[in-house]
Amino acid sequence: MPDRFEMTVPSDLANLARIAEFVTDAALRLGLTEQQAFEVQMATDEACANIVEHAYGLGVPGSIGVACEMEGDDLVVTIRDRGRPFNANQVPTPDVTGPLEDRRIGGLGLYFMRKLMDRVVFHHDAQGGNELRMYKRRSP
Amino acid sequence: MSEFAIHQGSGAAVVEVNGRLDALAAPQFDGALQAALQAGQGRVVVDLAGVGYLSSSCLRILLLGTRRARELAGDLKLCCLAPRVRQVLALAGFDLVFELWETRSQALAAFAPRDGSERVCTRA
Repeated sequence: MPDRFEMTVPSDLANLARIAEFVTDAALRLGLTEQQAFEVQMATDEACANIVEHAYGLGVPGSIGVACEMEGDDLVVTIRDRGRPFNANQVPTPDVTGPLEDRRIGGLGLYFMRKLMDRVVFHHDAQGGNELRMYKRRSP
Repeated sequence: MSEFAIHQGSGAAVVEVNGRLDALAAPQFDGALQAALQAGQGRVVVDLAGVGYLSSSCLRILLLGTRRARELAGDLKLCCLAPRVRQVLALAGFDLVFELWETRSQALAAFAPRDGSERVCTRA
């Protein structure tokens, strides 16, 4: 069985469902539970939607690379793009307890990624572009 | 692709959703909610029985739709949530701000005034 799964797709919201299917399948093959695979799928979906909508921008051509592999007991999802760099520190933390009228609209996607995964690391360099690594511990 | 159907129920419009509610579906979902808000004069039930996945972009649409409904003196109620959709709502703390019902008929009945008397709003 392969221990690394990889795909590259054009930056387009229409490809989100394909990415979700790919990541769910890879996570299950790498031994994660159905629930964990769902959570990895959701974090990946939010990350890729951000890339299409903000890193490249809707309608701007570009590619998104997604890879899944084990590092020790962790499933690592690596997502690469060559869009605008993303500064996670500038994203406000959403209010998840206040009344509806006070809720801010932005920041939920990143909040989900951090809640659903054990570790989320953003990296940018001028040559390689953006690289996001998200870690999920496999249940023993 | 996701599909949206709008029905006129008794006392409220119903939006029936089928498919993934991801970022691709968000604009269409928004359009369907706006149409239902108009048809139901601000009173809308969103039936999520056919939805297995809800992303943050569609949560935002639900939040904006609920605000709009309340501006119109109505409300937006959700029904028939799959466990994972409920999990996403809970993660965002949206289970505290949305009214969630097990069935569509319960959600519709929640709009109806009881015994002809005025419905008392207990929401803060």
